[in-house]
Amino acid sequence: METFLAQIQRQAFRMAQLATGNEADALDIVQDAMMKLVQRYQHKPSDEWRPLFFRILEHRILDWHRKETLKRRWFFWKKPTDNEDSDEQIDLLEQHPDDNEPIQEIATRQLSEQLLDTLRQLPVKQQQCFLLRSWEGLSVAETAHAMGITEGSVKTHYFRARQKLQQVADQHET
Amino acid sequence: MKREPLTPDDPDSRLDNQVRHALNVSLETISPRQQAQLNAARRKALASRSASARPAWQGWMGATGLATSCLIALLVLWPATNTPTLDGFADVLPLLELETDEVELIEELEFVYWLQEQDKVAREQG
Repeated sequence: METFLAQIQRQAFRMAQLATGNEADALDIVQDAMMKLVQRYQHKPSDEWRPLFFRILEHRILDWHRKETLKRRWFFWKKPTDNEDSDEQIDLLEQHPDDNEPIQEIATRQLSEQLLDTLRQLPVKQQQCFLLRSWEGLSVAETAHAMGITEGSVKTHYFRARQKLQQVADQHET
Repeated sequence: MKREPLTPDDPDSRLDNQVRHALNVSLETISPRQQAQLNAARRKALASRSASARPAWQGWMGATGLATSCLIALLVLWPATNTPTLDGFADVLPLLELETDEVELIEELEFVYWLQEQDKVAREQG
Protein backbone atom coordinates (compact mmCIF):
# COMPACT_ATOMS: atom_id res chain seq x y z
CA MET A 1 0.00 0.00 0.00
CA GLU A 2 2.84 2.38 0.86
CA THR A 3 4.48 1.82 -2.53
CA PHE A 4 1.20 2.38 -4.31
CA LEU A 5 0.53 5.64 -2.48
CA ALA A 6 4.09 6.83 -3.08
CA GLN A 7 3.66 6.19 -6.80
CA ILE A 8 0.38 7.98 -7.09
CA GLN A 9 0.67 10.91 -4.67
CA ARG A 10 2.26 13.45 -7.00
CA GLN A 11 -0.22 12.89 -9.82
CA ALA A 12 -3.11 13.02 -7.38
CA PHE A 13 -1.77 16.23 -5.92
CA ARG A 14 -1.42 17.79 -9.36
CA MET A 15 -4.96 16.78 -10.32
CA ALA A 16 -6.36 18.25 -7.11
CA GLN A 17 -4.27 21.38 -7.53
CA LEU A 18 -5.53 21.92 -11.07
CA ALA A 19 -9.09 21.51 -9.84
CA THR A 20 -8.85 23.69 -6.74
CA GLY A 21 -6.19 26.17 -7.74
CA ASN A 22 -5.12 25.97 -4.12
CA GLU A 23 -2.16 24.06 -2.75
CA ALA A 24 -3.43 23.63 0.80
CA ASP A 25 -6.83 22.35 -0.30
CA ALA A 26 -5.18 20.04 -2.82
CA LEU A 27 -3.03 18.56 -0.07
CA ASP A 28 -6.06 18.10 2.19
CA ILE A 29 -7.95 16.35 -0.59
CA VAL A 30 -5.07 14.00 -1.40
CA GLN A 31 -4.48 13.17 2.25
CA ASP A 32 -8.17 12.50 2.80
CA ALA A 33 -8.34 10.25 -0.26
CA MET A 34 -5.28 8.33 0.95
CA MET A 35 -6.77 7.87 4.42
CA LYS A 36 -10.09 6.65 3.10
CA LEU A 37 -8.37 4.17 0.78
CA VAL A 38 -6.22 2.84 3.61
CA GLN A 39 -9.00 2.64 6.18
CA ARG A 40 -11.70 1.18 3.97
CA TYR A 41 -10.09 -0.67 1.10
CA GLN A 42 -6.69 -1.91 2.21
CA HIS A 43 -8.08 -5.45 2.34
CA LYS A 44 -9.00 -5.32 -1.37
CA PRO A 45 -6.67 -6.79 -4.00
CA SER A 46 -3.93 -4.33 -4.95
CA ASP A 47 -5.06 -4.11 -8.57
CA GLU A 48 -8.31 -2.54 -7.34
CA TRP A 49 -6.60 0.22 -5.38
CA ARG A 50 -5.99 2.50 -8.34
CA PRO A 51 -9.61 2.83 -9.57
CA LEU A 52 -10.81 3.00 -5.96
CA PHE A 53 -8.32 5.73 -5.11
CA PHE A 54 -9.32 7.84 -8.10
CA ARG A 55 -12.96 7.34 -7.31
CA ILE A 56 -12.40 8.68 -3.79
CA LEU A 57 -10.22 11.51 -5.10
CA GLU A 58 -12.81 12.56 -7.68
CA HIS A 59 -15.58 12.56 -5.11
CA ARG A 60 -13.51 14.73 -2.82
CA ILE A 61 -12.65 17.14 -5.66
CA LEU A 62 -16.25 17.43 -6.85
CA ASP A 63 -17.40 17.80 -3.26
CA TRP A 64 -14.89 20.60 -2.75
CA HIS A 65 -16.24 22.33 -5.85
CA ARG A 66 -19.84 22.05 -4.68
CA LYS A 67 -18.90 23.59 -1.34
CA GLU A 68 -16.93 26.37 -3.03
CA THR A 69 -19.84 27.16 -5.35
CA LEU A 70 -22.16 27.34 -2.37
CA LYS A 71 -19.70 29.51 -0.48
CA ARG A 72 -19.38 31.87 -3.43
CA ARG A 73 -23.16 32.10 -3.65
CA TRP A 74 -23.47 33.06 0.01
CA PHE A 75 -20.43 35.35 0.10
CA PHE A 76 -20.95 36.85 -3.33
CA TRP A 77 -19.33 40.14 -2.38
CA LYS A 78 -15.97 38.45 -1.82
CA LYS A 79 -13.60 37.93 -4.70
CA PRO A 80 -12.65 34.40 -5.68
CA THR A 81 -9.94 33.34 -3.27
CA ASP A 82 -7.78 31.10 -5.35
CA ASN A 83 -4.40 30.67 -3.76
CA GLU A 84 -5.30 32.83 -0.78
CA ASP A 85 -3.62 30.37 1.55
CA SER A 86 -0.66 29.98 -0.69
CA ASP A 87 2.18 32.42 -0.63
CA GLU A 88 3.05 31.68 -4.21
CA GLN A 89 1.18 31.78 -7.46
CA ILE A 90 0.80 28.34 -8.92
CA ASP A 91 3.23 27.96 -11.72
CA LEU A 92 3.11 24.38 -12.82
CA LEU A 93 6.13 24.75 -15.02
CA GLU A 94 8.54 26.78 -12.97
CA GLN A 95 11.31 26.46 -15.48
CA HIS A 96 12.60 29.74 -16.74
CA PRO A 97 13.89 30.34 -20.24
CA ASP A 98 17.51 29.71 -20.75
CA ASP A 99 19.42 31.83 -23.27
CA ASN A 100 20.91 28.70 -24.79
CA GLU A 101 17.63 26.82 -25.02
CA PRO A 102 16.91 25.68 -28.57
CA ILE A 103 13.94 27.34 -30.25
CA GLN A 104 12.06 24.06 -30.54
CA GLU A 105 12.31 23.46 -26.81
CA ILE A 106 11.13 26.97 -26.06
CA ALA A 107 8.14 26.43 -28.32
CA THR A 108 7.33 23.11 -26.63
CA ARG A 109 7.58 24.68 -23.19
CA GLN A 110 5.34 27.58 -24.20
CA LEU A 111 2.78 25.19 -25.62
CA SER A 112 2.91 23.12 -22.43
CA GLU A 113 2.30 26.24 -20.35
CA GLN A 114 -0.66 27.23 -22.49
CA LEU A 115 -2.13 23.74 -22.41
CA LEU A 116 -1.84 23.51 -18.64
CA ASP A 117 -3.33 26.97 -18.29
CA THR A 118 -6.27 25.95 -20.46
CA LEU A 119 -6.64 22.71 -18.53
CA ARG A 120 -6.76 24.68 -15.27
CA GLN A 121 -9.51 26.93 -16.64
CA LEU A 122 -11.74 24.12 -17.86
CA PRO A 123 -14.96 23.37 -15.99
CA VAL A 124 -14.04 20.86 -13.29
CA LYS A 125 -15.87 17.90 -14.82
CA GLN A 126 -14.31 18.42 -18.24
CA GLN A 127 -10.93 18.86 -16.61
CA GLN A 128 -11.10 15.78 -14.42
CA CYS A 129 -12.59 13.72 -17.21
CA PHE A 130 -9.69 14.61 -19.45
CA LEU A 131 -7.11 13.93 -16.73
CA LEU A 132 -8.55 10.56 -15.85
CA ARG A 133 -8.93 9.46 -19.45
CA SER A 134 -5.80 10.89 -20.97
CA TRP A 135 -3.31 11.11 -18.09
CA GLU A 136 -4.39 8.26 -15.84
CA GLY A 137 -5.43 6.07 -18.75
CA LEU A 138 -8.79 5.10 -17.33
CA SER A 139 -11.36 3.73 -19.78
CA VAL A 140 -14.68 5.48 -20.37
CA ALA A 141 -16.41 3.06 -18.01
CA GLU A 142 -13.76 3.47 -15.30
CA THR A 143 -13.88 7.25 -15.62
CA ALA A 144 -17.68 7.20 -15.38
CA HIS A 145 -17.44 5.03 -12.26
CA ALA A 146 -14.79 7.24 -10.69
CA MET A 147 -16.75 10.42 -11.32
CA GLY A 148 -20.18 9.02 -10.61
CA ILE A 149 -21.55 10.05 -14.01
CA THR A 150 -22.76 8.17 -17.07
CA GLU A 151 -20.47 6.99 -19.85
CA GLY A 152 -22.30 9.35 -22.21
CA SER A 153 -21.44 12.30 -19.95
CA VAL A 154 -17.81 11.18 -19.86
CA LYS A 155 -17.66 11.21 -23.65
CA THR A 156 -19.27 14.65 -23.80
CA HIS A 157 -16.98 16.18 -21.15
CA TYR A 158 -13.94 14.60 -22.71
CA PHE A 159 -14.86 15.79 -26.20
CA ARG A 160 -15.42 19.37 -25.01
CA ALA A 161 -12.16 19.42 -23.07
CA ARG A 162 -10.28 18.19 -26.11
CA GLN A 163 -11.93 20.78 -28.33
CA LYS A 164 -10.65 23.60 -26.12
CA LEU A 165 -7.19 22.12 -25.79
CA GLN A 166 -7.03 21.50 -29.52
CA GLN A 167 -7.84 25.16 -30.20
CA VAL A 168 -4.86 26.17 -28.08
CA ALA A 169 -2.58 23.69 -29.84
CA ASP A 170 -3.78 24.87 -33.25
CA GLN A 171 -3.28 28.53 -32.36
CA HIS A 172 0.21 27.75 -31.19
CA GLU A 173 1.12 26.10 -34.47
CA THR A 174 -0.12 28.95 -36.64
CA MET B 1 -6.85 -0.86 -16.23
CA LYS B 2 -5.62 -0.71 -19.76
CA ARG B 3 -5.22 2.40 -21.83
CA GLU B 4 -7.44 2.50 -24.89
CA PRO B 5 -5.37 2.29 -28.04
CA LEU B 6 -4.18 5.57 -29.46
CA THR B 7 -2.60 5.80 -32.87
CA PRO B 8 0.44 8.09 -33.04
CA ASP B 9 -0.62 9.56 -36.40
CA ASP B 10 -3.99 10.57 -35.09
CA PRO B 11 -4.00 14.32 -34.32
CA ASP B 12 -6.11 13.61 -31.25
CA SER B 13 -3.48 11.30 -29.87
CA ARG B 14 -0.87 13.94 -30.63
CA LEU B 15 -2.84 16.37 -28.51
CA ASP B 16 -3.04 13.78 -25.74
CA ASN B 17 0.69 13.29 -25.89
CA GLN B 18 1.32 17.02 -25.74
CA VAL B 19 -0.87 17.44 -22.67
CA ARG B 20 0.56 14.33 -21.01
CA HIS B 21 4.04 15.63 -21.63
CA ALA B 22 3.14 18.97 -20.07
CA LEU B 23 1.63 17.26 -17.05
CA ASN B 24 4.58 14.92 -16.58
CA VAL B 25 7.01 17.83 -16.78
CA SER B 26 4.89 19.68 -14.23
CA LEU B 27 5.38 16.76 -11.82
CA GLU B 28 9.10 17.35 -11.89
CA THR B 29 8.56 20.88 -10.65
CA ILE B 30 6.85 19.81 -7.43
CA SER B 31 8.94 21.53 -4.80
CA PRO B 32 10.80 19.68 -2.03
CA ARG B 33 8.45 21.31 0.46
CA GLN B 34 5.38 20.01 -1.36
CA GLN B 35 7.01 16.60 -1.70
CA ALA B 36 7.68 16.54 2.06
CA GLN B 37 4.06 17.47 2.73
CA LEU B 38 2.85 14.69 0.47
CA ASN B 39 5.14 12.20 2.21
CA ALA B 40 3.79 13.33 5.57
CA ALA B 41 0.22 12.93 4.30
CA ARG B 42 1.02 9.42 3.13
CA ARG B 43 2.58 8.49 6.47
CA LYS B 44 -0.44 9.88 8.29
CA ALA B 45 -2.78 7.85 6.08
CA LEU B 46 -0.79 4.68 6.70
CA ALA B 47 -0.69 5.39 10.44
CA SER B 48 -4.48 5.63 10.44
CA ARG B 49 -4.51 2.03 9.23
CA SER B 50 -2.72 0.76 12.31
CA ALA B 51 -4.85 2.96 14.54
CA SER B 52 -8.05 1.69 13.01
CA ALA B 53 -6.94 -1.95 12.88
CA ARG B 54 -7.95 -3.90 16.01
CA PRO B 55 -6.25 -7.03 17.34
CA ALA B 56 -8.10 -10.27 16.56
CA TRP B 57 -8.93 -10.95 20.20
CA GLN B 58 -10.80 -7.65 20.38
CA GLY B 59 -12.97 -8.80 17.53
CA TRP B 60 -13.74 -12.06 19.32
CA MET B 61 -14.47 -10.21 22.54
CA GLY B 62 -16.87 -7.92 20.73
CA ALA B 63 -18.69 -10.79 19.05
CA THR B 64 -18.93 -12.78 22.30
CA GLY B 65 -20.19 -9.73 24.18
CA LEU B 66 -22.85 -9.09 21.56
CA ALA B 67 -24.00 -12.72 21.63
CA THR B 68 -24.21 -12.68 25.46
CA SER B 69 -26.21 -9.45 25.42
CA CYS B 70 -28.66 -10.94 22.93
CA LEU B 71 -29.04 -14.07 25.04
CA ILE B 72 -29.71 -12.09 28.22
CA ALA B 73 -32.21 -9.86 26.41
CA LEU B 74 -33.97 -12.95 25.07
CA LEU B 75 -34.16 -14.58 28.49
CA VAL B 76 -35.52 -11.41 30.09
CA LEU B 77 -38.06 -10.65 27.39
CA TRP B 78 -39.21 -14.22 26.65
CA PRO B 79 -41.29 -14.78 29.85
CA ALA B 80 -42.78 -11.31 29.50
CA THR B 81 -43.96 -11.96 25.99
CA ASN B 82 -45.42 -15.37 26.90
CA THR B 83 -47.27 -14.43 30.10
CA PRO B 84 -51.01 -15.13 29.63
CA THR B 85 -53.05 -11.97 29.49
CA LEU B 86 -56.16 -11.38 31.57
CA ASP B 87 -58.12 -9.66 28.81
CA GLY B 88 -60.87 -12.30 28.93
CA PHE B 89 -61.43 -11.78 32.65
CA ALA B 90 -62.07 -8.06 32.57
CA ASP B 91 -65.37 -8.40 34.44
CA VAL B 92 -63.80 -10.38 37.24
CA LEU B 93 -60.70 -8.25 37.66
CA PRO B 94 -62.27 -5.62 39.98
CA LEU B 95 -63.39 -8.44 42.30
CA LEU B 96 -59.87 -9.78 42.55
CA GLU B 97 -58.75 -6.49 43.95
CA LEU B 98 -61.30 -6.54 46.78
CA GLU B 99 -60.44 -7.31 50.38
CA THR B 100 -62.07 -10.31 52.11
CA ASP B 101 -64.40 -8.08 54.17
CA GLU B 102 -65.59 -6.33 51.04
CA VAL B 103 -66.43 -9.67 49.40
CA GLU B 104 -68.57 -10.59 52.41
CA LEU B 105 -70.38 -7.25 52.15
CA ILE B 106 -71.19 -7.91 48.50
CA GLU B 107 -72.50 -11.37 49.41
CA GLU B 108 -74.66 -9.70 52.11
CA LEU B 109 -76.02 -7.20 49.64
CA GLU B 110 -76.92 -9.96 47.20
CA PHE B 111 -78.73 -11.77 50.01
CA VAL B 112 -80.61 -8.59 50.92
CA TYR B 113 -81.63 -8.08 47.28
CA TRP B 114 -82.79 -11.72 47.12
CA LEU B 115 -84.89 -11.27 50.24
CA GLN B 116 -86.45 -8.14 48.76
CA GLU B 117 -87.29 -10.04 45.61
CA GLN B 118 -88.86 -12.83 47.63
CA ASP B 119 -90.99 -10.33 49.62
CA LYS B 120 -92.09 -8.65 46.36
CA VAL B 121 -93.15 -11.99 44.84
CA ALA B 122 -95.08 -12.96 48.00
CA ARG B 123 -96.96 -9.61 48.01
CA GLU B 124 -97.90 -9.99 44.36
CA GLN B 125 -99.23 -13.50 45.00
CA GLY B 126 -100.98 -12.52 48.23
